[in-house]
Amino acid sequence: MSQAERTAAKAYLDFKAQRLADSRFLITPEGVPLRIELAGMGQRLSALIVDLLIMGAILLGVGLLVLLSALGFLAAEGENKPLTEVFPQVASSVFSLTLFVLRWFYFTIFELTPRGATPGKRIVKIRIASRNGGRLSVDAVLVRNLFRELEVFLPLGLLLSGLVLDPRLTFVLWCLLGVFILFPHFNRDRLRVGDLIAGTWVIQTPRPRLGADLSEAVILTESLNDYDFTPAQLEAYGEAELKVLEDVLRENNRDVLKRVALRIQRKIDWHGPSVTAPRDFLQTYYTALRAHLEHRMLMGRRRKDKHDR
Amino acid sequence: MSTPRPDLRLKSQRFREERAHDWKRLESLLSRIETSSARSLSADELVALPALYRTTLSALSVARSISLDQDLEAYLDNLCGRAYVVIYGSHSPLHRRVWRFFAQDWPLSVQRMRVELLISLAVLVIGMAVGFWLFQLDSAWFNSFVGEALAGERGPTSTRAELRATLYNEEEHAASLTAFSISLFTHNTSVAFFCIALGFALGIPTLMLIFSNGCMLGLFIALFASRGLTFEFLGWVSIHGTTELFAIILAGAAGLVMARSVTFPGVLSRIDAARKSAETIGPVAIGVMIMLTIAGFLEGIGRQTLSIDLVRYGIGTAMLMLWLSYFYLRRRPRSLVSGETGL
Repeated sequence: MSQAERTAAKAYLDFKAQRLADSRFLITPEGVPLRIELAGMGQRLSALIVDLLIMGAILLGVGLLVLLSALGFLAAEGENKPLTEVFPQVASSVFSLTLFVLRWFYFTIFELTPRGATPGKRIVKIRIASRNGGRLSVDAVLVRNLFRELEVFLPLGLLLSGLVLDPRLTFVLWCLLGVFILFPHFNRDRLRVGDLIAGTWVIQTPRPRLGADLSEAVILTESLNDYDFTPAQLEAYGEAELKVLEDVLRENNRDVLKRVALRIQRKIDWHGPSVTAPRDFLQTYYTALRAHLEHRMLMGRRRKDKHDR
Repeated sequence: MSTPRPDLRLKSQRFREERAHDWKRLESLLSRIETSSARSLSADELVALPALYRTTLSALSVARSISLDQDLEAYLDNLCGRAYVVIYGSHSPLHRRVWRFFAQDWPLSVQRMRVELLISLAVLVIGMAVGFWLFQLDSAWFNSFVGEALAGERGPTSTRAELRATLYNEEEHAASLTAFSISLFTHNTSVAFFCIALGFALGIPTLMLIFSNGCMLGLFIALFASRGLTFEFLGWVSIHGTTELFAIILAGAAGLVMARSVTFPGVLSRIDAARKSAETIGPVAIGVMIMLTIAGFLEGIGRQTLSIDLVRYGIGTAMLMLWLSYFYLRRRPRSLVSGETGL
């Protein structure tokens, strides 16, 4: 294997291992384990950034509205002295009320909808869920978002206000805040402090489409019967390799297809007709391998990977 | 081809083809529920939903044992997960949930926090005493402790007449007092929620917050007392103050409940104890918000319309009696359903 192939293979294996590490199983009352995947830190951070941008946009909108209405008043009544006196305070009141409502209620209200996700989370395709598999209660969502104040808004406020305190006090303060902010990195389920207390976690919500069955085309098309494999050739790989082959076929990258086809030919000692279309070869091999391994599975003799006998 | 081909498809393929129709049907029902609500479904579709869920679940089990198509398994996993969330949520109607909150969850949570409530109250009173005493030592403490937004135009340099004017609504102060009341509301709600949230840090910041709020109140009392306006000031404060202080004490108590559950979890693990404490804290947090909103209204109304001191005291006392009787009236305790808390 060349160096490039080695790094590509390693990256793929790391990705698969990460996906496995991110999986959690939820057992339904019927006794069937359902698999869910935890959201990654990068995803959650992007969702948070999008939400903050949306909140900023709302604030800006409200500010503009207030400004326009004040200008409208001024224009209508001419030089109105009491109004110009009162205006800054009215503006700041409206502004601080909007900020208050956004700060405490934006996340809670959206996370209480059936979708369980704020607009930022919806874009990234993640959502809140209850850890014990039940329904999200209002208490849980509220408590969860109470802690956001400490993790997001307070640090933001400190940074933006440019408050200059005693250096030692600043250090201590940031240490304390740091504990809350970095908490998800210190536990396996990526729980924030709010998640921990409320019994929730953040999971991914992919909407996978059911892809076509890869063996279907092979079995129904006669032209692919150029490639016949002996049982010995099908014994080369196990279920893990079959899954990798399925990923390769679904990804449909020509370079990768060619390389994988060559490797398989070398491994199974292929002496048949030369392979002009790697994808057809791989699809036929996939179908044959799958039929072989599924048969073994039905007989109770599963083969996890190529080293498993 | 004239002769029909034998069916050479894999068993797993035939299995999938037979059931794909049901899965598509379940998927379309689920996407309709998720985008609008369960109400958009017809009665027949609602009846079919659990049956479809069960067949899909069994299809998932079968797929795991006979098929090596991981795409199929991932798809069925996801579909069943979505159906599970839709079907196994409880669906009590909103009005019943709201009623249960007010009739049971909130008062019972407050009753459970007896000890923490007393500690919180004690810390507040100590804070007030300290604030009062600090002002006697040096009136400059007022400016360093109380922020500008809260102080408004009041300070050690104000004259008696100025202070008196702020107690009884005079027109020129209207705007600044409105801004003041909004900043007070946001300040108090922030303090309340910080108390609760920081309970996680072993309750020490919570106690500090209650203490400092007590100090501020003590400083204010001392300021007005130094101009001989104690009685009037306490009247002005008590309209909304009884509700507001009660709310802050409750918030402090909630923070202490969390601190206690994390520090002394008993037989549970710390995580489980913290999660259990959320059942008490959640209703209290919502309740604190409600109480502070009511306090805000009372303050707005009281400032404008009620200028007679005795009436103000009367209202303050009445509100206090109201809250005490609401929380401590005897009730039948709710049955604990695992995983299900208030609303």
